[in-house]
Amino acid sequence: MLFSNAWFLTGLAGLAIPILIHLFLRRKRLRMRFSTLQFFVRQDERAGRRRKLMNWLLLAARMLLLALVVVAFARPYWPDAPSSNGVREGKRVVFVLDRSASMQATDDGASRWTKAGDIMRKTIGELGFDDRVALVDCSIPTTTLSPLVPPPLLKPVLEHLEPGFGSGDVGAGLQEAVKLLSAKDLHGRLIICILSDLQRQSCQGLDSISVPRNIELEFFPLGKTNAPNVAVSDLTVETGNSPLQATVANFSDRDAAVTALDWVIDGRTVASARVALASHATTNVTASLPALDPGWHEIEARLQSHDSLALDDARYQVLQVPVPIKVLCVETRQTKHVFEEESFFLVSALQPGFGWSNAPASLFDIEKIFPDAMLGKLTGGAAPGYQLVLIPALRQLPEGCARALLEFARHGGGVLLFLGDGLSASRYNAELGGLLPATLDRIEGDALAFENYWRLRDFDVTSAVFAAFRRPRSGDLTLPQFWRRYVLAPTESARVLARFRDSSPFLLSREIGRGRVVLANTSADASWSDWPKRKTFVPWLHGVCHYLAGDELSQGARPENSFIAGAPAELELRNGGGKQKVRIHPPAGMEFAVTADDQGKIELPLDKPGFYSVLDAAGETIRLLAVNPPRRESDLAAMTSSDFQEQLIRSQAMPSYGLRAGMLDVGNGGGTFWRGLMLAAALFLVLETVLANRTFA
Amino acid sequence: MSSSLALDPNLLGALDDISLIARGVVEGLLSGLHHSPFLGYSTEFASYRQYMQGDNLRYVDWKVWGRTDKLYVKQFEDDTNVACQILLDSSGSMDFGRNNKFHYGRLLAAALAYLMVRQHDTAGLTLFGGGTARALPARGGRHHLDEVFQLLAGTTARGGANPGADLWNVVETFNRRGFAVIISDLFSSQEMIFELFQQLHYRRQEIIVFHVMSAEEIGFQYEGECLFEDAETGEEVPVHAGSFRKEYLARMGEFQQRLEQECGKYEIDYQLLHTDEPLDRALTGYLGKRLAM
Repeated sequence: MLFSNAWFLTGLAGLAIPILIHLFLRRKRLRMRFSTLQFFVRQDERAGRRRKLMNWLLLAARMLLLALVVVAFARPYWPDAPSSNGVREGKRVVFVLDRSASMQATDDGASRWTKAGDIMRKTIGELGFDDRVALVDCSIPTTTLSPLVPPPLLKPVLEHLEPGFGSGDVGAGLQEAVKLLSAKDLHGRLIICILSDLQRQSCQGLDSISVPRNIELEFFPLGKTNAPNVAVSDLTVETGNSPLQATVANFSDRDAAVTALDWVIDGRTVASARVALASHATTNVTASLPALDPGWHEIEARLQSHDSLALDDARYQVLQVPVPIKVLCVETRQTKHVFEEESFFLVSALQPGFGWSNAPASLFDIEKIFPDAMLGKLTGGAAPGYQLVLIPALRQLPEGCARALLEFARHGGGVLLFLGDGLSASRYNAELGGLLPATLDRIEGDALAFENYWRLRDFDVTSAVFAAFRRPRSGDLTLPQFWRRYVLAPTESARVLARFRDSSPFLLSREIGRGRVVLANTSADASWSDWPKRKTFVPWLHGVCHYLAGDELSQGARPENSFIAGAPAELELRNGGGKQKVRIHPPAGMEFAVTADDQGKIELPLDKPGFYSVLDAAGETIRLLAVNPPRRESDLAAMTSSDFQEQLIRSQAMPSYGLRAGMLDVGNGGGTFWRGLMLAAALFLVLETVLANRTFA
Repeated sequence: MSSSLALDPNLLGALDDISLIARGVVEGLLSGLHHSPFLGYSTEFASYRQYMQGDNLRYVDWKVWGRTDKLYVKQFEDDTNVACQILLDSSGSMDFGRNNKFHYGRLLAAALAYLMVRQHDTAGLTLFGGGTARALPARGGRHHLDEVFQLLAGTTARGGANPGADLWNVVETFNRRGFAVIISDLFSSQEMIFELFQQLHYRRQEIIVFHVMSAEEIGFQYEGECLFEDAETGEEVPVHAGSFRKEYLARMGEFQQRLEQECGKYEIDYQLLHTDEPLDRALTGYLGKRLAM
């Protein structure tokens, strides 16, 4: 017979306690003189013998009780005890391995992952042939890497095992391990070895996990409970003039030393900043985005830190700089100052840096012309590929322009028309009738009577024109005031996208061929309304221009290009449709090919942080993905194994193996019988209570 | 136990008002208040009976002979002296109790002796126990009373209850009919007690048993583990008093029941006395009851 906790046997010294009690704490009797013992004598002769016998029995019961408890705590077992079917019942060990990103942290130069591997290999080496071992990966999602197999069979699995980059859920892994050990035909000593740094973020919801008491839990310390770590926890990149912004957080209890944060774009460091963080502090670091060519760009915020976890010192983001929409803007006024131009608000909204030598990147590339040059631009042989024409109120329509605009629209171009003073309604109706979505009737309202105005009421939020206003509190389109407008009669093919409060049409759309025409029932400048001066004007104008240019998706829901490592991602390919074959270029490793399904979707395993390129058949990047480690993995604050166990529920749910198995615990380790000893101790406790409380005369 | 004997004046005062009037008629030599079982020749006419040969012709009622031609003898009820034999248990078991039983019994014996002598009766005293018996024959007179008192004062309770042959020798001297008052806890062997009852009854003694018991013996109000030591033998018995009380009381009840049965068998007047009860009250109550009988 062997003992799992042999040192508990030192408790047998406690057997002296009942002896001492028996010898020194004997009940002292009160000596009483009495007239006669004739009523006692006969009883006493019997009682005296019984009393002595009971005293000895009481002493024996107490000593046995104590001895049984001590031996039970020492967990005795017969190493070669056969099971009920004659087969030796060995250990059943399930390794719950934490493969989350935090396991890549190092403590005093030693990697937690390496430590875990060493422990597993050592433990497996100590197991016998009759033992069985399983491996559960408790990174999200939890997977059973190996069922219960003979120990030698698990070694190859360990050889090819690499640390993960995602999040971990030790509780889920523990549940999976319990499930493995709850099989009915499982006998022997059941052990779950938890190989985790017990990072608090990975040990949530433990209080809802029930682990049967017959399953032993063994913990192996893999790291410090609060290792220092500074991480780039977030990185946002917006197009236009918005700066790059990185969030840097210090997750440790100590102040972090001054470190450098480098901004790396397409592999080239473009800026650097110094960061100093107090304990548990967070700061934002910004940088301006340089002018970038149209196309996909890799942006990385890289911290020059020397902390426990290097994985989260860099954060990745991608930026797609679109090819600008070429816009032909017709200006009707020749003025000294640019702000006096009729198209001033349009140009400013679409291309703020228009005319600047160092203009930042813009979504629109505007060419401003006078009306008389419009025909040449639209019909020129070397057409620069305009996608959109903006036309304020034209007092005079150049000859042939109407036909040219019609052709332009039929071939996929977009035309945005504004109205205004001096415009000839009859001529517009006559010459642009095939283009306009409405017939112009007359002007109503007084441009100088500002107290009389109209407001917008209804607008079609399903249209890409108003995509920017779909979210709550994204802008109030009912605020602009309109004091002049045309009375319009929409054509049959027209679609009214917005109306005034009195239901008069404000914005009308019409499709001509492959192109679209939009008529705004207001002026392009601020002479008929104050809308150009309001902040809702810019997103609305961008929406209209993208709508007319046929680039609705860029204004609508942008596809997600940023993902968290460790979880598969589903991508929808915009072009190519179903069954498109693409190649994936991961940050490390070999390229691999993926074929999209019928809906043009592909599923990618994004295991490692970095940039993933999706290449089409021609090798062009059609999508660039940024994959980052989970933010919560950066917080290395960990709990102790005792904290961990305190939160768990140790249930009594046990597989039943019959009385003998229950007493000898054959289902848990082959010859352990501590439970039987405890039961015997309980019986002796009852006996002791009966004897101790019984009095004999 | 106190070695001096002093009669409580209150007790003696109480006894002044009470006369012990024997219920039965006892043979006696002195006149008193007791009715004699033998019809004597006193002035108080009792009844007639037919003349029998040998009767004194002085008591033949000639007037009745003249009227009926038959001889009748006049009988008179005569007051006689009573011999009261007091048997006091002086064994070790009597030396017990918060109110000592022997002291209580000694006072009782003294009171009875005083009462008897004051009524011009005779009182004898026999102390039995400790393997022997010491006796004073029944006599009257103040000097005899002093001897009784001295004997009581000079005696301590000790030894076993068995008096040996001395007691039987003393009992054999009780030739005259009279009272035999036994003052004892009766914890001697039952055979001896019942033998004593039998002998006294045989000796034509009207037996009165004063069964003296202390409160400890009656209630057995002990608690916890006790080691009881026999007052007579010194033997020790460990007992858990609380749990044994019920059995003790049952055994004590059986004991008393059997005593009363035996007393009934010999027409013995059995009286249980608690030492917690004042002696004068107990004695007055008993004699009052006896007078009413």
